[in-house]
Amino acid sequence: MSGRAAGLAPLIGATAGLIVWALHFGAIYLANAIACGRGLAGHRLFGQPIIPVLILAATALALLLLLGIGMRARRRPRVRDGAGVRHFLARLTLATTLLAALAVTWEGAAVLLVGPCG
Amino acid sequence: MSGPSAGPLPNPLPRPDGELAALERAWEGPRGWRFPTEVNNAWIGVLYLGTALLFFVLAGLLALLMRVQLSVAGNDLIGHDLYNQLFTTHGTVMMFLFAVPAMEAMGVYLLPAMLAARDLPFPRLSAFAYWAYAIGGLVFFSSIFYGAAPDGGWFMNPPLTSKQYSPGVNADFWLLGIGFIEISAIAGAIEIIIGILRNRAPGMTLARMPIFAWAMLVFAGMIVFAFPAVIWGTILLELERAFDWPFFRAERGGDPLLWQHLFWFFGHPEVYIIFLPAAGMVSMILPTMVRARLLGYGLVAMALVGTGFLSFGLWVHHMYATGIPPLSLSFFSAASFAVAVPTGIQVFAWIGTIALGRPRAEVPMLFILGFLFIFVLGGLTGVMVAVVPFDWQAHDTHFIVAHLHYVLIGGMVFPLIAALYYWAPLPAGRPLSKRLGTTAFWLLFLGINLTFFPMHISGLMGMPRRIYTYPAGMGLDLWNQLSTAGAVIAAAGIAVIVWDLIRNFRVTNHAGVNPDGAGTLEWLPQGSYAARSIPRVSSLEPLWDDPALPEQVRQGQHFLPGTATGRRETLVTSPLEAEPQYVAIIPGPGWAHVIAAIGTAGFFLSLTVELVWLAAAFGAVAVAAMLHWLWTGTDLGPIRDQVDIGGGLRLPVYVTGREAVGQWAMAVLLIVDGVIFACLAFTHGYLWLVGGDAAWPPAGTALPDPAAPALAAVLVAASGGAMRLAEPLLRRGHSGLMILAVLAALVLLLLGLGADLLALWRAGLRPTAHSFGAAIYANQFWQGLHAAAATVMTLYLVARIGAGLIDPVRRLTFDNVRLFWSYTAVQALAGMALTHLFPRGLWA
Ligand code: HEM
Repeated sequence: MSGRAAGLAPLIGATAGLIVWALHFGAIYLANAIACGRGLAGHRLFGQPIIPVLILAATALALLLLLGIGMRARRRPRVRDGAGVRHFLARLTLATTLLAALAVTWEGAAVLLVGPCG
Repeated sequence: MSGPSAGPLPNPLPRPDGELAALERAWEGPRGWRFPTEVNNAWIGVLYLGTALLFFVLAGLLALLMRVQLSVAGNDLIGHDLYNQLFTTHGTVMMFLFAVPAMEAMGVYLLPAMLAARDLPFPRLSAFAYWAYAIGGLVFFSSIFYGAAPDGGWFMNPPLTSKQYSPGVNADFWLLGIGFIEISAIAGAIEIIIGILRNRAPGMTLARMPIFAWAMLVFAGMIVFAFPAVIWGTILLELERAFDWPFFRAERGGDPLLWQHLFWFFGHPEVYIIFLPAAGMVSMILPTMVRARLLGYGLVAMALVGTGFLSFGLWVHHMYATGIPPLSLSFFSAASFAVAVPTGIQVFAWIGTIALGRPRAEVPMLFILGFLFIFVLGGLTGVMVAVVPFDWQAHDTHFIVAHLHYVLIGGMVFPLIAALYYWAPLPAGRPLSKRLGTTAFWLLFLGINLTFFPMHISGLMGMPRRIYTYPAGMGLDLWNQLSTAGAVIAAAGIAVIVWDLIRNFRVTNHAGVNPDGAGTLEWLPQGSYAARSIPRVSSLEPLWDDPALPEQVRQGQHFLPGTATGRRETLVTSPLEAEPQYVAIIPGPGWAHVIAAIGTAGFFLSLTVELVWLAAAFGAVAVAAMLHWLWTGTDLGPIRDQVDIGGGLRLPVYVTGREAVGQWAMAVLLIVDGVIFACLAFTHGYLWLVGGDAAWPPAGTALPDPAAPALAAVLVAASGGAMRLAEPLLRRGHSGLMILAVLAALVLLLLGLGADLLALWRAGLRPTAHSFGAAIYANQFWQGLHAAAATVMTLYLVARIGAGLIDPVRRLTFDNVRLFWSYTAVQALAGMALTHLFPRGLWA
């Protein structure tokens, strides 16, 4: 029986996109805080200022992960078990991932508009 | 196949003689002066809500006083000292003693009925949470009568609240009084999470869960992740005030902004913690009011979950004016915009539902329309202050006071009143007065807008918040007079509601009313035992899809129509698909939780006034009462083999391992614990970051040589090993050896933690000299609390083994202690790594 043994993992899995958002948010906030706090903002990576490079890279990585999560959710069996709870969770995954992608894009894009440390 | 009535029902008619009588006997409540012993969530829920509303009225009276003071320029009715206490107490009581508890109360009251559960799994825990809150809250509030109320604002920023600038006990009342009420909120959250995941009616899969249950699941989950931050902040500030450990004192390596980070990591989610249940209630009430199903159920569930996450990315938006790097501020700005998306989705779902249905002019509907109007206005000013440069203008003015009240009153008070009118027939058996409700609505709607709209203007004209008066001739007089007039009108509205409640609200056991023709399960006929029998659910609005259901439920034709063991029971189902798993026996009336609550409240309040011996006495009483409650009411073992709940389903009454709800509760508690530990680690990292590599630890700081902590770590690891060893001994039934293993585990743990502490002290590190030492000893303090808990748990476990109450089958107590143990050992090792490797690793 699917539901009995499954525990909570599928529900938590449905928030995977939002967990990626949280990790991305924490990472870019921390990176900027440390870079500004330790005066590292002047450093360069691949000839570019380090903070924008790091943040854009993190944002690209997060978006890739989100894409992966979204694709997996779409592939899920449409209607399998009678209750349709898997189907529901797959749609929930898709919707939360979309929201996460929007937030990640917005937050990452800020680096194109605003200087890091002021 | 749609309705649950298709096919034969699980239990045939006629029901055996005495089945209903036995059920009633098991659920009979205590009468008269013994009423505090009742633990039934339906009953606690009503008390809880009533108490929360009492705090609303009390805090509202303080608000009226403030508005009277501000009604004319240069008023000297209330001095600045009292004004400071008034706004702090008003804000604190509204947020901590009214808004969050009111929502928990609605959850505790409504969820069992909505999920068609007899009760949630830990009724005594919610009863304890309620009494601790009620007693602690009332004592806290009375501090205003002695001029001892906190006065540093509801977010208590140091250094204003440090000993230096707040020498009295006022701030301690906040820290200890509110700090422990947060613990009670967490207790309630654990009950709600596990109740929602494990007590749903059979067939009520996650895809068919009432939207209110989704909202409460997110609400309780957010409490689990947000409240630890403020609990940790509270501990730090109290340690600083009581023992001079300088976490927030810049001259000794501390940083006042650390408090703001910890506070707002809780404080912003707090706003959504208040709003999400309100949104969930609106999504329940609206479909009934307009006779149409909620538009976009799945999207609304997504919006709730999404808001729950994103709202944690907003904390710094209360700190735009603190000098944080601009790019960091932009992240929070962006997140603030992103969180508007799910809220927008919900607003459109509601508008769409209204458009699809036929709205009726009932009182709940009026309040929902009022909510939409006021909340959307508050949201708009919210988008304005999410723009960093605008916020720099509006910061700390009455514009913010206007914004926060539009959001809070629109987003929470109006839905709550709608809910009050909508669900009152459930406990009372009849509705509140439509005439009085309508009058109250118009008074409140006009009053609130008249109070707070002018504050946008006075704020933009420069009137600061939290200042007890203003000079004449600056154009502020008119706006303030309008605000005060509005407050009086709003107060009249509240008075009408209170009058309506006094006249028309009685708690009765009614045969089942559904005046608005709602579709969800809470409107099934209810007794003290909730629904007589538990139906299999196959849609979101079972009562709309199967009109025969209420009568079948009342007659006992569905699952578990009586009591299988002669005691109070509740059906436990699987978390995703809600398939029945077992029948859990739950506690009935008793005094233990009341005494434990008095002990807990007494403990914290005695600490406030520095009566340490009294605190110790109260603490001992609390622990003794809790142990008594555990001993007599939990881990009863398989007192029956299997019971028949109908439809050929035979279920156990005692389950251990991953299916047991007790293990789930321990797991959630450990998540709370882990988040607090993460805040502890954040404290280290943050102080190091702002302190600078060279200054944190400061030059010349003595650290123990690595041999001592290495030995300590080995001892702690060995302790974990000893507890593991106890498990196979238990399985083979060697109780004597098991006692030895468990005691060895305890001794090793205490030795390990003690060795670490001793080494630090011997090396000459002191908590008062610098924030570095303070952070390290805060870590020790936290580990020490765990050592104390572990000691009590071990001795309890040993006593149970000695009494023959633990065996290879009956082992829930052991499993929970072991789970706690694994966590404590890992946390101790992580704590040692933080202490000894974090700075030294960076030095090397
Ligand atoms: C008709 C009802 C209410 C009135 C007339 C009112 C009035 C006030 C006033 C005059 C202030 C102080 C302004 C200042 O000088 O800074 C204030 C602050 C505050 N109010 Fe209310 N209020 C009401 C309801 C509420 C509700 C329902 C909540 C929360 C659920 C709430 C939460 C707060 C908070 C958090 C503060 C800030 C306290 C601080 O600055 O530390 N209020 N309110």
